Amino acid sequence: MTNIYTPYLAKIKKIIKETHDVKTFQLELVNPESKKKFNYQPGQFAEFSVFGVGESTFCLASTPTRPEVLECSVKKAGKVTSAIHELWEGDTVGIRGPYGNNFPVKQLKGKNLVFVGGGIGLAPLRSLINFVLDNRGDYGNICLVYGARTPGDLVYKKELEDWDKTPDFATHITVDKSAGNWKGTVGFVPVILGEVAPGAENAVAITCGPPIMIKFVVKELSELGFKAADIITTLEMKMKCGLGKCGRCNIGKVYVCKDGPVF
Amino acid sequence: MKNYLLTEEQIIALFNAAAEHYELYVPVNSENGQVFCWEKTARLDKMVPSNIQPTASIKKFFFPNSEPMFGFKKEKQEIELYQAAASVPRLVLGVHSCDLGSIKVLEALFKDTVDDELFREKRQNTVLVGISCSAKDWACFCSQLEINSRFSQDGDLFITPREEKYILSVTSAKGEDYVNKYLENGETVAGFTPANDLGEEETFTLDFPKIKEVMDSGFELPVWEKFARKCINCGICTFLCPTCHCFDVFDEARRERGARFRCYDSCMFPEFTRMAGGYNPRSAKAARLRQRYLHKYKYFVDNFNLIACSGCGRCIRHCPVNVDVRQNLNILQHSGSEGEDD
Repeated sequence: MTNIYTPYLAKIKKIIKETHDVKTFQLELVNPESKKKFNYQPGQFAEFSVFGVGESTFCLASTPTRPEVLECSVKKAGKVTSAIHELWEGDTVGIRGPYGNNFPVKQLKGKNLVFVGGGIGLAPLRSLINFVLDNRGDYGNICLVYGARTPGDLVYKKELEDWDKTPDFATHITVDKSAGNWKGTVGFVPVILGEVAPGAENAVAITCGPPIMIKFVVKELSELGFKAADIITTLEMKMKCGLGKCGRCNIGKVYVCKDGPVF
Repeated sequence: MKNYLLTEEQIIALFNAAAEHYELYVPVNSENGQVFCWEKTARLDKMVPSNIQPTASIKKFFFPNSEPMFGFKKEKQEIELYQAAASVPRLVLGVHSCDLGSIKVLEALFKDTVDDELFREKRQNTVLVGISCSAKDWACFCSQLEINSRFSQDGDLFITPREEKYILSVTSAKGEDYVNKYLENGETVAGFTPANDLGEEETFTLDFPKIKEVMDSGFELPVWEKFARKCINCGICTFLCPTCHCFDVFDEARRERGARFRCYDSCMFPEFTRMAGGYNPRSAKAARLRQRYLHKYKYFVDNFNLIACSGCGRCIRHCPVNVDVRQNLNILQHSGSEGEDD
């Protein structure tokens, strides 16, 4: 009997080591039928399985405008993520999804976009950024403020460089604590955001990162004149089923997995 | 609703007639009289008891303590998946109104957004035969939830004693199919009026809309801390509750073979919401207890317009530290958001 908890099988095409504890996995669904069914939008997430170890929830860091691969960036933190980090290219894993709501890509059309990310929180933003770059004419200027604890914790370094060279795309990279030969900005993301001071006029801010960062980013954004309706965030809770049934990811009556993760 | 007047022999024959095609479950009283359960039996030899509420609720037939969702086999870098087999048709006898009433809560949840086949298939494959309850105990409070202990249409068939005989009410299409197939020479009766609820000793009336109003009024009520003092977070209330449905998903594997299971989880456990990075949004005991109460009497009402409680009383009867949800709800309904006496 088939059931909603059975994942699609996927092959790991490529593994990219982002930092000492983050790897990006490029996946391709094995069955062409499942490829057709797996239609996602930026902001959605999936359940990633290592058979014999378990499942864990990750946002889709890739964009549907580049359908060749699905990408998940995984930070090693617990049992499943450690097992994911031990996988090799060519291994078969499970993917279940896509789940949750997505960034309102239609309503964002014509707007200037301010992305504010912290650490691995850049992953869902990256999906939307690349989506916007692939539909460049539909959106206004892009401003990205991205920070991590140390230079070694910054993810998607190659892309950050490419984005910096892209017209109408201002990137501001910062670290909490300098290390090695870091010559860039040092300072917390909300502080740098305040210094960069992107205009609130016809703009929408999209933020993802640790809860404490989001809290101060939202405060900073409202001081810059962003209305609550023009601030979008993605939230995270422990999840298992991804379908609003297993009962753990609710904030009040709202289930992050099916009513979110984009709020 | 069709009603038949049947003798004891006819009732027994009706359920034995299908024994070839169905697994038959009846409530039994274990030898020490402490644990009641549904046990599989080859044949029914006497009338179904009406005074036994099994300790584990009816949910285990559709949502078992632990169940495989699929199996897998690894070979080098390849994976093969196997689906779980279809369930065996079952006939569950002697179900009380409280348990029958709880099923719509699980049905609402499991079919919401995406249909959970594991639950639906088992429910479809089970004929539920209710029985008019003859023994409410000190912990029962189904009347407070407007559930009639003497009659229910939430199952497929329902038995009500009448003098020396029994009324068999057909309460669903599935029940009707069963009767059409297996009942011989059944005499229908017109004008059957179901009995009224047995009633219970009420020391106070629970006003659920009022309780929800208090819950809506504020998240930070001082009563949560007070309720939590007694609770030891053992989770027994959640496991025995017919409407609690939170589950965990995990893999079991040995060498190259394994399966993914789901099993009961509990909002009473800190691990339930603790994330891999260590952060736990419900790390405090009071926060977990509040989640359970709000989930049952507020969130579920907000989302599904149903109270996730049927007043079966298992959480009261089996709590090792005598937490009584009725008393707590009573305190809640008399407390405003301004604060509690304490």
